[in-house]
Amino acid sequence: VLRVVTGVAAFNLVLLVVGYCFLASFLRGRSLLTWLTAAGIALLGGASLVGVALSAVAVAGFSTGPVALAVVSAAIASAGLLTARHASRSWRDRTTFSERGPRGSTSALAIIGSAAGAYGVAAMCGLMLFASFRSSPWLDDAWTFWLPKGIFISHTGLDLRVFGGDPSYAQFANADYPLWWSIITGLVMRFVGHIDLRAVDAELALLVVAFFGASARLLWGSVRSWILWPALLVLAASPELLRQSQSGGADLPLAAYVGLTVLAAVGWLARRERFFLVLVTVFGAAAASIKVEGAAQLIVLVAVPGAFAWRKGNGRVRPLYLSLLVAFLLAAPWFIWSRVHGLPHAYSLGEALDPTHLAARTERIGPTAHEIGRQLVDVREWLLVVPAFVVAGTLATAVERRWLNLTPVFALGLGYAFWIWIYWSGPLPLSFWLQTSGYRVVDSLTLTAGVFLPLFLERVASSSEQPRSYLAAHQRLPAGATQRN
Amino acid sequence: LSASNSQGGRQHPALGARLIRLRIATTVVLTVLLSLFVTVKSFSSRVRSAVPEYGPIIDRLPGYQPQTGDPIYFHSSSHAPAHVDTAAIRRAAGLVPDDATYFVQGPKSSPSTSDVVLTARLFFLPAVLSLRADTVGWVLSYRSTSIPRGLRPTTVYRLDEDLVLVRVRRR
Repeated sequence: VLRVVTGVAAFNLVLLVVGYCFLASFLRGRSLLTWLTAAGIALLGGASLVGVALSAVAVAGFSTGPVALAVVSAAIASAGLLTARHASRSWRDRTTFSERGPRGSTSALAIIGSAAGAYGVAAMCGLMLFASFRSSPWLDDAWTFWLPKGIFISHTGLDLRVFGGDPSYAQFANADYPLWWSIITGLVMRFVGHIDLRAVDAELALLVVAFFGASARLLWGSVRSWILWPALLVLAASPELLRQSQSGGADLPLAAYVGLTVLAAVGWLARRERFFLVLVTVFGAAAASIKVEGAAQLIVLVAVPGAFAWRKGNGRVRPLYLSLLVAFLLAAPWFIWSRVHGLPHAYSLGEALDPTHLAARTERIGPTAHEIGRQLVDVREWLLVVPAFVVAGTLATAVERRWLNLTPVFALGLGYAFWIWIYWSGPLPLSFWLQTSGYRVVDSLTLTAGVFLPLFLERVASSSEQPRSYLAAHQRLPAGATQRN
Repeated sequence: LSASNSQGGRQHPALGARLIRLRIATTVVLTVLLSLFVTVKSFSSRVRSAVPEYGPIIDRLPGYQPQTGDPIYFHSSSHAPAHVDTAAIRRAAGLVPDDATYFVQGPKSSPSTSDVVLTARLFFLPAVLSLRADTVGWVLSYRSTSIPRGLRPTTVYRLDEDLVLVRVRRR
């Protein structure tokens, strides 16, 4: 296990350094505490950029081994440091990294809730990470195609004998799947020095831990700690999250990047800090490079709901769309390569949009809606993440009388409809398909709901406090005095 | 994510000290509970019985048997995990050069054959699995008594009762 621990640690240290260098424009001159608390963003940012860049390297005909990693890491880190050196101070100054949270409550319950919530999230992350180093992936996808593809291209690149449909050689299963997760797991194994599948679970768990770190960092300053930590704990303690952290599959990394892209998009719309636009591009590029449905989910969860903010001012939405477009372009080389080389695709968009095809199989809608819906609200799997998100969103809309608050709930509904459509139009036998993937495809929706829950609860809490504060101010006034506005 | 402008002002020192004491007390209590959960197996197994959904985490705690770094031979279509001698295939992988091509021969009737092929494919990387025996330099033979026609064995490595790795040349 020691070799697994050192190998995984060394590889992630590289990703962390790359991420920090890339973010240096925004972090330069800030306190050590700010740098430390940005570790989750840096690790996920570094992993995203390295994986996306190496995908392009593979498409260009090179291998994605340690040499390519060194070159790509040096290039990204240098670019980040050079930008930090030459960028105007306004870049940094216009980015808020709150070190203190919003005014907290001094009630004993809030203090205990905050401390227990933070401790709980840290404990769940620690247990998840510890368990991952002692478990082999239970999902066979991990060792039958994700990892083999990664090890192979880390040695020889995209060899057309096994990627180009040559009938003399065994082709990789799901050869059309993007390369990001394969590249990351393949490199982890090169750092470990031999094939030990526990390293795949460890890498997956580390990315999930980084996801919680990044979410807390992005929400810190906007949500009070006694709301933030217990709300994040609901997600961190979800049995299905913990179970899937040992799957070795690509669904959780995809969900983490989708959730953070949505959070960054909302950050941009609310605060207009360029930092969030950069995160939309970096996290979005990873999401689009992990699985084929990544880009579609970003359209459903970011682009479509983003249009609701158009009325607020298209000056905010246009840059968001541009950032998303850049993310898609970064992920594009693999999709172009796979089309050019005729890699088989299991799913046909033409059929999915064909009314005749859809009309002939409407019996698939009901079971899909039931099963995906059950996965979303089953307390034994994701606790109360999605129901609490919907209730909190509805409450926030009601107390603030602001319909825009319902947009994330609408987006979740759209995501639910998206998956019904996929299973409705897809080629595989429905019961088998739902049984083998239904529990995984909801990850992006649940993680997105999980990071939104603290925001909704904060809005509800702050709205419900306002009348009381006003009343309290009046009560403190001396008798006969009137409040001056 | 609107930045809050209501960041706290200075607290009264006595209140601040009370809050810190409360945080420390909460942390100490939770640390004791976590330590019990992690180190005392009877405690964690009771939690596991009450909430079996947390089994994947509890089963990996100290005192429980960790898994190895080998694949778990269980697929969505399986009723039970298949048995594959992973150690033998790892030994074979050490003999097959990176630039080799190989063929896996095994009875289609055996439910383990497909897992042997998948395992060889993983551990023999970056060597390439060929679907045609006549072009390869190596054959991994599983529960077979002969090698494919047209090939002559040059070196034979018996890995276990069922698995044989054969270096071959074309006749």
